Amino acid sequence: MTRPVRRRSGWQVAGLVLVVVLAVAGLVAIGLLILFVIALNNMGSNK
Amino acid sequence: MMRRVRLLVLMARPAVLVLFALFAAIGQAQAGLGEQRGRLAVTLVAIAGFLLYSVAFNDLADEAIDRVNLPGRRPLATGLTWRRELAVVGCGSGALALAAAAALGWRPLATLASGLAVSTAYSVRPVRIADRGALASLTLPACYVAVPYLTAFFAVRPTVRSADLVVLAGLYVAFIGRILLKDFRDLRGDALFGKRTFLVRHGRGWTCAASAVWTTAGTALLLAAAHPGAALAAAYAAGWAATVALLRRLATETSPRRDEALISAIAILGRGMLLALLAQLSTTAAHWSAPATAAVIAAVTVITGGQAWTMLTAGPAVRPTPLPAERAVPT
Repeated sequence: MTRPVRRRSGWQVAGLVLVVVLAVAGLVAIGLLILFVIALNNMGSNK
Repeated sequence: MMRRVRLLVLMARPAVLVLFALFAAIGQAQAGLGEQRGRLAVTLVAIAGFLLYSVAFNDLADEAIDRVNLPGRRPLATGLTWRRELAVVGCGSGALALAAAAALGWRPLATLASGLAVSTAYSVRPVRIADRGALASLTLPACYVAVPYLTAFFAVRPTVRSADLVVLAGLYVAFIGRILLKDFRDLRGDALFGKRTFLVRHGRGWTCAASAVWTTAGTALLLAAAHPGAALAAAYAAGWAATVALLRRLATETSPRRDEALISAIAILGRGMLLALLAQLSTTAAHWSAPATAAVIAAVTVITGGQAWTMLTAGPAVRPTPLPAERAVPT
């Protein structure tokens, strides 16, 4: 339902690194949530 | 079959689902027993069912208004489904939510059942809280925040302390500040159909001022309850200052495109503050050192701040596109 119009930003790459670090350190759930939030932050969401 | 799967995905509204999951994770983390992934997964099933139920009945009630506010972006208004099917999806999702909550215990079940009742009263006549201005702005965040937070909390701990409720109050109050802004997108249809939102009644300037007040109060409550270290306090101070600055710009903005970017950036900052709180609670429960906790909070703050800046300067990278002119029922 969406179309990508921009390359992946440096912020997203930094976010992915943080997600991997947290998952390796045992905080899988928070890592996954950060992953989803970072993806969501590209959308024009008002919530 | 594929149409029905697609319908469920559309109805789940990814932004809202992620937000629900965030509040649920904060609720479980606030309980202080560390990550309990099995219980969190069942909680997420329950709140996903709750969300689908709420969306179904809201779409049924708002069919006409959605044709104006969200052309091509709501399944019912577009013709991707029909009223009876949507009602069946809503009732089935509500039943799934109750079953999942029951598996977690009677307290999560009572929380979720209360949430379903409030959600019904929000959308459905004769109560129809959605049409009642300030009351709607106070009720919707209660559904968004309290249902996932308390369901997840009670899934792992049966007793609530006052600090747990102050955190809930802080999340709720801060979210009211953000939910007031959602009506900017819907202004035209709301005014047309006599929906008395805060924005319709009081205008742009007062709405932004009210949002700033709620945001400030929520931030203060969270800081008071969470016993933050320097990192979380700094993250919250930065997030609050940036949010208030963006609200000042929004109060005088004239372009709908800029409205969307500003409101989306404010939402990103809000989600960043939630993630920072979750990072503090989760790393503390996992017995991380103070510097390690501070590093995670700093990283979350910088990344979400950067994404908010990108949103402000470049707008959304992905934008919802209208649903295709596919019809579920031949006309």
